[in-house]
Amino acid sequence: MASRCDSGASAKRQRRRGDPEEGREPSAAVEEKDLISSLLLDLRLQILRHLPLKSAIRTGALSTKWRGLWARRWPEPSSIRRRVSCRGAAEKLLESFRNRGMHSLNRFSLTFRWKDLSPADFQRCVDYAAACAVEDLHLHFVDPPHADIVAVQLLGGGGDSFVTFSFREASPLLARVSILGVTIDLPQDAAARSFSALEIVSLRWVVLRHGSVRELVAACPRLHTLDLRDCTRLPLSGSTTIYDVRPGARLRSLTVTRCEVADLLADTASDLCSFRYCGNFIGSSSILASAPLHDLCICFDGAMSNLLGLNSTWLDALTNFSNLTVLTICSSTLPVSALPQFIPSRYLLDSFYLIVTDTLVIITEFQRPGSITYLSFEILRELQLVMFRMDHCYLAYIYEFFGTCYCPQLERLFVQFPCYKPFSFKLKMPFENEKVEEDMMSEELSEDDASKEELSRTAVLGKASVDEPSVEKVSEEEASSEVLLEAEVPEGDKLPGSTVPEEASMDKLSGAKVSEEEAPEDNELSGATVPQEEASVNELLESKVSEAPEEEDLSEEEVLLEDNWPEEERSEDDQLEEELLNNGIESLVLENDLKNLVLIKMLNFHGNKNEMKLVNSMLRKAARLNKLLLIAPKRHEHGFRKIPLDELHSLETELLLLEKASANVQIILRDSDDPATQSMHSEVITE
Amino acid sequence: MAAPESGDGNNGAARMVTLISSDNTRFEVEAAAASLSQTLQLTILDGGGGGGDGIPLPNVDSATLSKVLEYCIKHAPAAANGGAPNATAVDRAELERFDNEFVNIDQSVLYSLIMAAHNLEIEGLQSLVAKKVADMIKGKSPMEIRRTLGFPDPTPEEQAEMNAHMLEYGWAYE
Repeated sequence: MASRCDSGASAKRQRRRGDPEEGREPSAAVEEKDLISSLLLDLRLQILRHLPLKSAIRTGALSTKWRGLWARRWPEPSSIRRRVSCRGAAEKLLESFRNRGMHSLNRFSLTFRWKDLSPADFQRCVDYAAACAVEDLHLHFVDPPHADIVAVQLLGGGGDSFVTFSFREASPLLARVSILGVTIDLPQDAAARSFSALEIVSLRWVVLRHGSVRELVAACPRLHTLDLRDCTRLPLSGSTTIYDVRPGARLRSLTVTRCEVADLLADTASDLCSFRYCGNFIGSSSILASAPLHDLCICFDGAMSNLLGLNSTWLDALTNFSNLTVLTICSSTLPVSALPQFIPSRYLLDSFYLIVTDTLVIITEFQRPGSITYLSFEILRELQLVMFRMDHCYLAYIYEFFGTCYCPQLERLFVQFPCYKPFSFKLKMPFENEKVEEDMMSEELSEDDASKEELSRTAVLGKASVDEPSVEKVSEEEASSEVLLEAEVPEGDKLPGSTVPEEASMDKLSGAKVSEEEAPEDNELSGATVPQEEASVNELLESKVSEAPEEEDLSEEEVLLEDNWPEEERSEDDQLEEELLNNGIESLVLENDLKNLVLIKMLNFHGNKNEMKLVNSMLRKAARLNKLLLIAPKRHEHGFRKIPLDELHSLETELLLLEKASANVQIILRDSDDPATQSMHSEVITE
Repeated sequence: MAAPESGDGNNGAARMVTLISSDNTRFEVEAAAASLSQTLQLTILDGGGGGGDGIPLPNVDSATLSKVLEYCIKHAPAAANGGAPNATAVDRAELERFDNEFVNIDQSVLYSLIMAAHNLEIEGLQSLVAKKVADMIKGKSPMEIRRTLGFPDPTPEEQAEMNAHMLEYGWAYE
């Protein structure tokens, strides 16, 4: 036999039509480029059936002939993607499963609402998917009950009435799982019952028991991507630690945003190349200092950490930036020298003169003396700065960042200015059910006596803005002049502590809230960085509520002015100092870092003084810039007005007059975001 | 190219059939082995392939056919036992070893085999070869797959398409 086989092969070689490459053979098709592609469709499908989903998908990249083939390897439909949107739909869905039979499934995606799918039907769907050996599973419960209710039910033994995804019954081939709003249940012996194929786990709005994440990670030896967003703990678990995240050594990508994480320890993950974190303060020892990061996002909302001055050491603690191409930091994680952020501006400026001197040293010698570290981001391509404040010292921080950090390859710069509807890390359900919100609100109204006043104000304001979104601008001038009066208090004289009472009540108000997009959130930004003016604006509003309830619309307008007022009432030489400071640093440090910059995008651009200054310096330094995209703040959901068109036009004119280093720069001012130019971390940051 | 009369012997017990490859080589095998092919089984049951007639197989060349028959002869006893319910572990291990070695061949032969197995409807062989090809794809990046399977270098358009696909199904590339 063997000899015949050999002679066969040689016979075949003779028959090859001058094709130089090994492994070619003539077949029916004349124009075929490679042998496997010329196989009959059935045969290629048969090959695909022997592949795990991930590998099957990858064949889609081989050529046009292979493009959608992988999706057809199981009898149609090989992927089930359903949205259960009414009561009767579940019945139809289950019927369609019966008709389809138990063929293998590539993907099973189920989106449903609270009232439309009973827990029993949910279980049937999940069981069906598991029986079909599904490899990619998505269960999205778009309006899950509030975490507290789930907790009470689970602990009270009523867990059956809630939709729960049990990993115990999961398909053994499961490679990716994405769960939104569904409680997860892990078998007691999770580690023993290993999910050997599971590589990607994404949990959002999931209520977790203490230790669940750890158990899950332990049960998935191949887990390389873990994505936790808006997850909360089980509030009544009686444990002091909330829950901990201790991913395994194989982890390469870890995203934790807006979760109540008490303990995040990824220091065994030596291959971690993507780390994205938004939330309360965590220490830099959470990840391995030498982790080969490709992209890093660190944003804190932590008031406390700001006061302790801990934030700015985060980047300093990391040692390996040689692979870093994308970086996002916020105003509290800018690696500035350890200057407390609440000291009076006067002292701040004095300190900055010292830094100016240091900066001069850096520029010539590329090193910084003393405690100030010089960071080198050799291949950084994209930088995003999320600014929670943008007063003059933060502008200086930005300049200082470019002074102390070397990023010669930077191509894209994103700056997100404060939107005065600040960043919130609080639990907020991604569902538009207004009724639920209202119910929640009225419930709390009756419950919380201490903050009754604020609450009623919120309620009134909320109503005002909902009911009369078009009535605005009535007493605009009046209000803004009053803000100025109120603002007379020098910035430095007011420590953040002074806003605490107001904040406390606000936090109470919003803490238990499922979805609340109004004034209270403003205070969640962080104690230290919340503009004190905000509190006074609120007080102001409060006092005026009875006579002009529609003034809610104005509050944003008023706050828009916030960045301007300190300048206006500062003495002339203060301004001079600042000018010197900003121009001095800026002119020396920006050029190096901006030489390859082609795109700048600024979000929440109001056109106020500091924002314009930054734009101005960028334009003057970025010689290769070809696009400057300025996005005006988004229209507020509750009827806040946008920047008026005429204001936008005058801004536009002003921008056109600025000096530009690059001849080809295109300046675009828009009032809506451009989906084509999103930063890599935009979906992690924005909410 | 000689047909395998020599080794198999013509004892009266086993019915023999003759198969004729596309390049007119004659192969004489036991009907039981040939019957692993669903296509041949029908012809053989009809009494075809015996005597001097032979069954012509215009889609299968002699090299491939000899390989196919090698597989059939090895698997015929197990198949005759109806999926080998009483096969010992040793037998099964031996078959497995044979299978592994059997597919350890040049890619062009693999493709000829899978096509022949498809034409002749030999389920086990089809599956065996498909699995082998799948193993060559498994866990590789598209570029590695291309290289392994002898695709030419991608054109710029193909490269762009490849990148687009990677973007669309990012998770499968992680």
